[in-house]
Amino acid sequence: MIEFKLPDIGEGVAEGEIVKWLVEEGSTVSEHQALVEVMTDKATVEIPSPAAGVVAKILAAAGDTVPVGQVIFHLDDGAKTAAGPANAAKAAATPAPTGTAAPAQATGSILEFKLPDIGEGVAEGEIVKWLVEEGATVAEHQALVEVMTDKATVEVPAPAAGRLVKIVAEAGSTVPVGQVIFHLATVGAPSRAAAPAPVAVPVGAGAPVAVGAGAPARSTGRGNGKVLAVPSARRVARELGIDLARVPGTGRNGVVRRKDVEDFATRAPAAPVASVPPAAAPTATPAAPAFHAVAGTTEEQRRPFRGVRRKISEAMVRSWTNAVHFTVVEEIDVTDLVALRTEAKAIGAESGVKFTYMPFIMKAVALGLARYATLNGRLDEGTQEIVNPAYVHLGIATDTPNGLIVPVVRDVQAKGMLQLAAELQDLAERTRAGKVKPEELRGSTFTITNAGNIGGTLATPIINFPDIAILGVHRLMKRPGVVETPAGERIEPRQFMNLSLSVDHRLADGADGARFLAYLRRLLESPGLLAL
Amino acid sequence: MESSELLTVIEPDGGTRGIEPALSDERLVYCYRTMLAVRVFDDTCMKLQRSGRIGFSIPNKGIEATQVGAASAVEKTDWLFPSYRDFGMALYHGITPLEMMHNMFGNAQDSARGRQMPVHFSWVRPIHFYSISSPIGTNIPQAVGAARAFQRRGSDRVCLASFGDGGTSSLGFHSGMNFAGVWKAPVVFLCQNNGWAISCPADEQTASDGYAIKAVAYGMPGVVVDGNDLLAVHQAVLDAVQRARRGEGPTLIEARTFRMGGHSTADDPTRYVPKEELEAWAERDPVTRFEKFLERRGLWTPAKKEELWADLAAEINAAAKAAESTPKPGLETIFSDVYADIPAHLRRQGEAAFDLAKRRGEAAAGDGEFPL
Amino acid sequence: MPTLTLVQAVNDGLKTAMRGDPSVLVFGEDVGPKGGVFLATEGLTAEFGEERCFDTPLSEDGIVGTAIGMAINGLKPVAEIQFQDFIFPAFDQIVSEAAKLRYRSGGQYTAPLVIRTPYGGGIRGGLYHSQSGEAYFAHTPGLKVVIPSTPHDAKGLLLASIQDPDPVLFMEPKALYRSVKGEVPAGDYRVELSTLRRVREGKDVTVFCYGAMVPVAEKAAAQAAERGIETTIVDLRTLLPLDEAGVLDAAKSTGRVVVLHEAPRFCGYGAEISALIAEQAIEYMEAPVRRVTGFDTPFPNTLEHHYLPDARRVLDAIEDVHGY
Repeated sequence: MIEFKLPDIGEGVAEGEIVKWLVEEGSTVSEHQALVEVMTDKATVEIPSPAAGVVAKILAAAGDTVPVGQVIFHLDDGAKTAAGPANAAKAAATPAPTGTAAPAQATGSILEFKLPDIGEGVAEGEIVKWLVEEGATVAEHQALVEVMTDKATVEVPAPAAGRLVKIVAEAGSTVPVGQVIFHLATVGAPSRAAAPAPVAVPVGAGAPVAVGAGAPARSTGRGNGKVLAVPSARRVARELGIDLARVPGTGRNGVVRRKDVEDFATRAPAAPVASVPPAAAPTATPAAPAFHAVAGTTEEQRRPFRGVRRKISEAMVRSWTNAVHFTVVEEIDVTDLVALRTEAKAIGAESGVKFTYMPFIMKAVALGLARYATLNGRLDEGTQEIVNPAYVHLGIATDTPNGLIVPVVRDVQAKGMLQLAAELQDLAERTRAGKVKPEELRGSTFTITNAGNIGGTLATPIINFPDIAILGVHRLMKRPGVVETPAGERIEPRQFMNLSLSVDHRLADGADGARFLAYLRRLLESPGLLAL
Repeated sequence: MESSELLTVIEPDGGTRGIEPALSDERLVYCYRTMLAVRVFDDTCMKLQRSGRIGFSIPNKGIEATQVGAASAVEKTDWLFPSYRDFGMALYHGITPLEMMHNMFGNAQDSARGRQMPVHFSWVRPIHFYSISSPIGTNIPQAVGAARAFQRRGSDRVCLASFGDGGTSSLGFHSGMNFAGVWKAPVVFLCQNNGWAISCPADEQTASDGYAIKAVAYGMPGVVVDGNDLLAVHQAVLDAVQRARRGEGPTLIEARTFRMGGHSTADDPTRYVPKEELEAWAERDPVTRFEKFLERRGLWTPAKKEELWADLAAEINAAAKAAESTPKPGLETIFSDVYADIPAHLRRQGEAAFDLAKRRGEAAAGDGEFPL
Repeated sequence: MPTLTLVQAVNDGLKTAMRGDPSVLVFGEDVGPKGGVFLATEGLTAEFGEERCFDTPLSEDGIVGTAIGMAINGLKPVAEIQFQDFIFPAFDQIVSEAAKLRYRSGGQYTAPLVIRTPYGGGIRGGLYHSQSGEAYFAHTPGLKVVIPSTPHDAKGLLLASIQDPDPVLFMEPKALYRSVKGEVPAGDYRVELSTLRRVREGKDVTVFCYGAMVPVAEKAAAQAAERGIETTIVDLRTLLPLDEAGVLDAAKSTGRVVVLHEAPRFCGYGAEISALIAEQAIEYMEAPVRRVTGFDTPFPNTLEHHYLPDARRVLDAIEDVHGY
């Protein structure tokens, strides 16, 4: 059935008057047959039938004035579809607006968190890395930032659930204990007077960190210490004498809006600062909290799936879908290694070289690959040959502001550990600064990924394709261990570290992997053997 | 206005005073078929517009002899610079009703991707039918430039520029004619004096004694021809084309004809064209006149006409339906062909438009309504 | 008070002007007996005779050139260019001559003429019956550019333009000719040039627009209101000389601005509003100025509705600046 609408007959005609119907309801008509006379202010015209059929219904009478677009008759043309034909081309979809709800504002108070004394008498710490972005919603105890002191590198957890509304101390800055390093907007319940102690996780300080996936989204609210604020916010801040740097921004990308400044100005003085007692003892049992209705949020972060992230994604897919991954994990008693490393660190410090566990592990890996060469190298798909070189170039998976990058240390088999430490340090710094050369990113025969800093005791690392294998290094764990002594078995606190080895099962077998790991274990448990 | 010698061949009774047509019998019949096709196509388009299936059309009724007569005097290797009232030139040289209908419906198969209003055709095959522009007279100097290019290459091809009586008042007419004269360019200027420029009658368009006489001002011959006499038009254009091919330069031809329909579907000529004028010209209808000529030669009969009309109507209606059910062009056609390569800012606009359609749905079609 | 469509209001304005001042003439293509292709000049020849309302040959440069000549010699011509798309042969006369005459002659010769022309899309007119060329002319010192969006303003601004001592390009949004009706006072009245009109008041976002985009903005503002966003709509009315104080005031009142025009984006009129705000009201801005415009392409026919800014697109921009 065609529901015929009065068309626009001339340029911009808006309505027409029905002068005279030339057929009746029920008439059978042919295509192009004149049906009705319509008068516009430009012309009087005959409207022909758009198709052959029967005039089912006349909807406008002679003398009626009808706007363009109104249906004036129904024509039964025998077609199945009910909707009008191309007497005008219609777009199909009705607009379905997807408005996003305005983000809920954080209620509750703003906690200005000061850097606590993490170790005994620590005076200052270097902000190594923020683990969350400004604006992120965080849970109580969630690790927010990594801080390095001369005692340890620790993660500082959130003292309460809320939103990290402002990062005050940038990564790379050194901050005295007691200085505010971030603002946390707590939701609902007022901030607690005492926050739990930060969890100190001794990890290899300064070790490059590999991230398998999910680099956090860019924080664009802060850049080189300047505050991003809309112009009206600046004006109001100036007029009210408010330091913009203190105002939490709720705009897109953390930008400070005018309303933020106005809210800041009208707010009561900041909530009492939680100072962290040196003791690690938790506080007294708090009173049962009154549960308030929580203002939820429908906010979402959206980032374009592009650029480095996308490149990483493609590399991961390529690795995962080509290499048949299997993973073997070994537990290593590194108590002696820890002691050795402490000594090495002192020696390294004399030449300004930072000594982590990595040079030892790299050395061990090179020795292991000399013995178990099937794990060293790659598949040359072009020639369909498995290539096992005599050299060991180690890719060191490194987390950088631009995502996961794997610079390569070459000829590890020929270098001493001090040299490896120095090269590693230089490479890591340059990689994080984005200054590594392209040729330094190529040519790895084996890769090490160290997630020890972050945590985790086991992983199934993804091979840095087209390498044959990858070794994941995990964190130190102090555990009770069984020590053989001449006087019999004894239980002692020992330091353990797990290694996870993923191997491409197309190119090497489980036994090879296990043997390789076993050899590494021997070397690292008696690290003097590394001198061999 | 009084005319200089009006070239005419076909008498009212269909005789030709002994003049032998320059066209073969086969070609004469082909010309007739084309004229009838123009009429049917024109009539169909009017009906399509009035029923809202296309947005616009331009009546060609009454101009068939001028259009087809001129078209029949050029080769497919010559270039046409038509006006927007030249259906016959397209149809004669093998452009199909379907291709024309694609343009009328502005669908994805339109050679111009639905960008132009209906009747603003553009083709390079089977003949160069230059892209039609709405502003009047802009095609004239362009035709001269293209002819100049042929001339410089030593080619014997010509350009035919077509325009109306109104077109002779345009800037393009004066510059084009002047340049053509100075260069002796191989171009034929066809002024289709159809009596009206929308509502301005031809004798108010200019104070010249007719239009052909304007040729004198620009240093070329001017010829007046009976535009409703296909043989006369053919002869006049052929002479001019041959002159140009021989390197003797341009000619202005004024074909006197009559616009039997309005200016466009948005125009009502009954408001300003005197009825008597229309009736007088109806008696000199170019199609019936040529029929008489063909019948006298034994090449045609009235029964054949009915049959041909029905065949053409079926073909053209089928073309209309096919074009109507062809999808509209995609959104990306807005952004292509602005330049050879799409610049960054335009690519971004295109992406934003697609993105917006995903987020908020497509734009709703006009439907004859305004974008409110 | 009579209710008229926009084109009827133009017609009424012309009649009023011609009745009141015998030096006012109307001419152009098909404006005489036919009354104009949009009937804007209907009835003028009948009432005032061919001496005062007449057809010209098909020659835009001739129309404007002769209009200038009449204007310097004691007449007040109101010339019509049938479609703004056809104005370009007259560009030389407008830009080189009419706009510069007072300046180059030290005020000895002036051209108080009006050029009326329908502009803009929305009638499926394709490349050459839909253009919005106001930017070319707003870039011309010495010229005035006026664009009404209501019948009341069409008549009042036209009467003001006809009596203005400087050359005025009066651009009429053809999409609104018959689709917009409103009350129009009978007789003579003026709407002052260089004054904008505040169409709607709202504290959250300001939309600047003109011509056929004003109803689009109104529709988007209604949709925005359903989402709790209150919109100020400003109809600029005179593009040149612009009511800058009014623009800045409206921009500052919300700090969130959307500029809307059908014309292409690059170097379109919206860029001027954007720059003006950036120079003189930046401290009050809460968000970048968003422009909603036609694409930087010629004007397509079949896909016209995709090209022209619609309420959907304007709402998107309103929500975008609101949520910045």
